[in-house]
Amino acid sequence: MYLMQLIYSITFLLVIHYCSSNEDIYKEELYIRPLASGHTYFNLLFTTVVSPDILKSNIIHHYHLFPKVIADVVRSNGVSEFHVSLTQGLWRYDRWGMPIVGAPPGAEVWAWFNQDEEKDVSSRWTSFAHELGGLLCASLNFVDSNVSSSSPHHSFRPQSILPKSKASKLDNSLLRYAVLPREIVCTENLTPWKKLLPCVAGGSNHKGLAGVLDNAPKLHHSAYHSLRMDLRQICANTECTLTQLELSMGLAIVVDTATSKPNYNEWTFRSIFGSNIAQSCPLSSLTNIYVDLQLSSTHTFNISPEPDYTIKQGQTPIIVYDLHNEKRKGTTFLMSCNYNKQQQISSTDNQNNNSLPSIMVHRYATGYGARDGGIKTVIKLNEQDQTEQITLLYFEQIPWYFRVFLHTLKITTLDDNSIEIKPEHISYIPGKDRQRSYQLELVVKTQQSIIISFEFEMAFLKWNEFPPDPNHGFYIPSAVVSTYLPSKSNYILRSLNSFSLNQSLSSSTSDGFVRVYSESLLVNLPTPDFSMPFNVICLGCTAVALAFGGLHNLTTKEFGFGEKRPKIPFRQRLEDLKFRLRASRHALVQRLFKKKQHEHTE
Amino acid sequence: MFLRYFLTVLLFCFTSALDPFEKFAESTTRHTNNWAILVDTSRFWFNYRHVANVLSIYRSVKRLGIPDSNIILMLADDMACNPRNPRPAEIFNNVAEQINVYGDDVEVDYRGYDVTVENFVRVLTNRLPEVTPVSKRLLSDESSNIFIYMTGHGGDGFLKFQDNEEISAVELADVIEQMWRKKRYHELFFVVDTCQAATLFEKFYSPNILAVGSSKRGEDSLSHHVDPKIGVYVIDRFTYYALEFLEKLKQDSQKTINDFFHCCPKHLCISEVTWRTDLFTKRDYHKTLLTDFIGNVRRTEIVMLNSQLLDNIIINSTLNQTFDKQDESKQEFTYISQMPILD
Repeated sequence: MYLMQLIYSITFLLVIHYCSSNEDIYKEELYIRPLASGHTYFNLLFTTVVSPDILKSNIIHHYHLFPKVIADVVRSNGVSEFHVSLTQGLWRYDRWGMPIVGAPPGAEVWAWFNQDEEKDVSSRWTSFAHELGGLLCASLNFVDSNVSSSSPHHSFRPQSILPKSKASKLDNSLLRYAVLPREIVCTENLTPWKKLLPCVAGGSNHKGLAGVLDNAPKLHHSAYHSLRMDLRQICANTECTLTQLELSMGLAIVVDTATSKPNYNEWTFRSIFGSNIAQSCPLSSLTNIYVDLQLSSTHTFNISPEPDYTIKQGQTPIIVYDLHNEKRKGTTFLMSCNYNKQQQISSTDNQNNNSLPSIMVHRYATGYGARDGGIKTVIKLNEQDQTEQITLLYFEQIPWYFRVFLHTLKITTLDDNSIEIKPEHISYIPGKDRQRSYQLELVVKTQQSIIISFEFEMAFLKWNEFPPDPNHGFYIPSAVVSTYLPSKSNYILRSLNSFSLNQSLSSSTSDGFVRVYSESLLVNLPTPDFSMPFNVICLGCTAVALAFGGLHNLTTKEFGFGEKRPKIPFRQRLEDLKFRLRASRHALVQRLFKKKQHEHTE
Repeated sequence: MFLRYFLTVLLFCFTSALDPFEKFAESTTRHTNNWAILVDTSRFWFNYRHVANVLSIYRSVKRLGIPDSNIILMLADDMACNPRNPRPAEIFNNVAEQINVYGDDVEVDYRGYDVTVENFVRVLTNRLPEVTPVSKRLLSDESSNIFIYMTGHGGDGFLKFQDNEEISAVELADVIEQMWRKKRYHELFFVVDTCQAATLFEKFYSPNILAVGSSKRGEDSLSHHVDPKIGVYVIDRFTYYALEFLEKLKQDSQKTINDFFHCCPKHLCISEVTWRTDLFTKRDYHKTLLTDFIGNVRRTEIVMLNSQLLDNIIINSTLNQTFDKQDESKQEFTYISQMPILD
């Protein structure tokens, strides 16, 4: 009996060992870019690549580096790919350039689902959003109310690989996109997100790059903070006949690194993250740190320690530190950097134009009062870069209580309001009160900066549909502009082949596709006055008004005793009534006859 | 006839003997798991102290052993990452600003607009929609000890949720009775820190409940002190002194519930701390340990590895699926264009 148990446990262990030979790959990367405005952009990327068998149902799975909760959520809801981001702050395209991947302020979730005859997409989307919200401690359960979800027709195409037969026809009902501009991101979202990483054991002193995530207050002391998670299928080999599942988790922060000395910036790992990187994570196959020195043409840099090697991406030199290097084994990795601006007078014009980004989007709410308003979106293109027309895909989702009028849609050039541009394509789904939000997609081909504007009217909400703080206002989510950047080699962007940077940095495999997000707007709806003193005064005054009459009578009239009314017997009263009736009938007859007599005589 | 009489007496003895047996058995059954529900019901920046209250208690509860999976934390508003907070991602309950009660390891289950009376009642009675994830559910059973802590603005017989709705004492008593009928708790410890707190639990009628409130009917609970660097009151009196008491506790502490009741005497709390023990009949609260509610007992189930279990695992593992992979290799995949509208 004991021997049998021993044999079985040994076989069990062998099975585990065999399964683990189908290795999951885990990579950690930190991308650092000093920016011209005195800020520095840090982007932590954790990528896990695993075999797609993990999504097959009805078998027992073995999880090595891939988090089990994500696999369970994705498998039970039949999700093919999903992307979720939680952001605080707005990315300033004019001062900071292009991010590796953009995100709107608040929470953004979008997912493509598999075709399934049994369960419809809406219920799967609801279930998926609830589970993901519970996982990330965010209120993503609010996406199932139709105010926030939609199915874009042209934007947000799948970033997974698809079988060639299905690639041409895509069913848009399998896509759900939702954005919650009011969601905040704080340590409570970082905690469960962090626990999905392989090298994060309980407590602090984590190994590898996850060690910098321990000091949450330092991470939140930033101008921009964005947490994201993407899951999709990628090619496993060059012919793309086998697939793999890629989970990419990223944390992007933009920190102010200016010092009191003018034009001098300084940072160290300890000042930004609160700790250095202690040892590398033994489970990761790659731990790299990249420093993007795009400012090296105008600033002098002083970085320690010495980089391991340098690569060139377009015009920008990027220095790379490999933490798995033999010489760094078992040591703590510290890094410090300071840079200051060189005094250049001649080439300032050249420098200004180069620093302007290719495309920028700004959005404004227009109008006044509580009845109607408008939205104006300004898409600014850097005209030096444009030699030919660029195609812009503009997507907007407006909650139902701002009723959009499509006939007021106007697209004009920024310089001259009278030149109207006709869009190549308009896809508009009108909203329905309390059921569906307004969805607008425009395709515009242009070479100059444009303004897109339209008007809306505000709806009256029922008194119980207001949130607890109604005077804060209601949010209109960001507009998304998708386009291919003209000079793609100048930018470090996420490439479709792999969301981890090591492959996309050495060879420029990015196609220059970007999604640029605008601000989200805050508009006040006609709000009743919920304040307690007002209600109390109303009720009180009503009561006073009603009671006043009676009270006035009581206080001003004199009461006294009067004569008792004689009691007339019933028979007598009946006689009186009969007499009165007869008399009135007589009077009526008299009147009629009198009239007739008059007519006769005249 | 004598026989019949004898049998009736014997039957009577049996049935009456069952009762004392049951009572004896119940008084020695222990709880097997602990749950904590910590609720802050106030919104807006000037109610910073309520969030600090709840997070202080959360910290103690976690420190004494209850894991995040057994804690339901509800915060009605975000103070840590609030734009008005001069110290982002940090919440302090003391002007000395020594401990960041928000910490680096916090999981909030219900936040913002999710904290409503409806959700609170649904969590307690487990009548949640099917899609609710496990982290947002109270999965207690008949041998769970539950610790409920509520703070916010309250009045005579009600507690205000989020500035636009309220839960009344009668409603709360009925909810707790539902929990009892559905066997969702073994013993319940209810702590309230609001104005006129005692009125919130005076309507309870279910057994095995201990309750303590920071003030009695007609009295206001007062806040403790202001942090001039943050600009708001950072903690309430009752929670401040309760926290001082709890910080000294260790997991094997022998402090009793009665000691907790006396942690804030009148000269410190100014309002009179009121408690209710008449429903807690099975045990003596003078001898009940505080760690029965605020500490944790983990449920352990010992399972023997048998051959049936191992067979199942080996047959159904991914080991057998390697053959299927080779069949699918003939299919070709491709990335699709991100802007197909161009073509």
